[in-house]
Amino acid sequence: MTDSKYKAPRILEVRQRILKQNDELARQMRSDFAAAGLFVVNLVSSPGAGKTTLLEETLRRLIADGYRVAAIVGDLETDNDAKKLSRSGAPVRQIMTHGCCHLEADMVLHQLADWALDQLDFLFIENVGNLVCPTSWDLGESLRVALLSVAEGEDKPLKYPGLFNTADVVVLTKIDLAEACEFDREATLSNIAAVRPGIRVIETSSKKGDGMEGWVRDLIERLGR
Amino acid sequence: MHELAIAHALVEQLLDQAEQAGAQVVYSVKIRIGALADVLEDPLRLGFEVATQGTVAAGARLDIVHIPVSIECEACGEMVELPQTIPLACPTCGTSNIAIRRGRELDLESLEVDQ
Repeated sequence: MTDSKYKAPRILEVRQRILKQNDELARQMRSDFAAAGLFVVNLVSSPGAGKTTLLEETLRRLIADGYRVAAIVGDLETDNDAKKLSRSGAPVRQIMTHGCCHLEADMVLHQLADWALDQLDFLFIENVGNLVCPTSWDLGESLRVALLSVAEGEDKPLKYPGLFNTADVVVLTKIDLAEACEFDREATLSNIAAVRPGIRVIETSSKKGDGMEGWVRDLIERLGR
Repeated sequence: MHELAIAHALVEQLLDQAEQAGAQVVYSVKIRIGALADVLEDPLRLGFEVATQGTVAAGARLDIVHIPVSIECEACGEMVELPQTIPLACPTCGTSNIAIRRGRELDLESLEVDQ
């Protein structure tokens, strides 16, 4: 018995990245950023690790050094972070994702539409506070920075290896609270090394200023001018 | 729950492929997920089921191939598959001077279609 309509299934080989569309857009953006001489930093961390406070202080210091900076900040709701960051004097735009747990390349591109990128030295993208979801989406950044506050527990890198593994630099924040939080520096550094061997770790306190000079100098060196 | 966004991107991509091939039915979909891709299977399956509803891939089986981490040790120069994801260090010589060669996959491998 053969059914004339029956056709044997066949296999279509595809072999593509599932996030191909985002990856290709991010690659194009990275090339456009490089052509404009723009250094783009993607800040990722859990909510409350201190991204906004670090960023506000970083913007202030870079502006004082004569650099042209701007920021894009992602949150599920509210433009509170954009308002806070604007106090630094830098142009800031807020992306409200309305429930989306991460930023994607096209959301960033949309915000950049009328910005003259060649008039900027640094663009900071503050991702949605989340230690898992932002990992998979390339935003065309030059540098991905994972923040970890001393209050979060030294095993965070082991619990969320993907995020730390895709980072280029780790910034330990709120280092002024280390003693009060019984922060175990040695365990933290060894856990970071277990998921991202050889990564640079910078200790900072955005409020007290500890380590901020080194962090900003590191960024300027990476910009290369 | 970024798995929903990944499922959406996956379904969009496979429907494109199925349409280009002139397929009327997608029976199954094979994907590869690396141990470092930070993607959970259950929410991905749920997202896949929802996103395929009402399409030629409705009811398609989702086959997931999990890819462990493989590293190339700068000291031994060998490709080694790690028995576990962490620590990312050479199991032979213990050095962490390594390059990750596999384990970050998030790929659509193939579709099984009617024509």
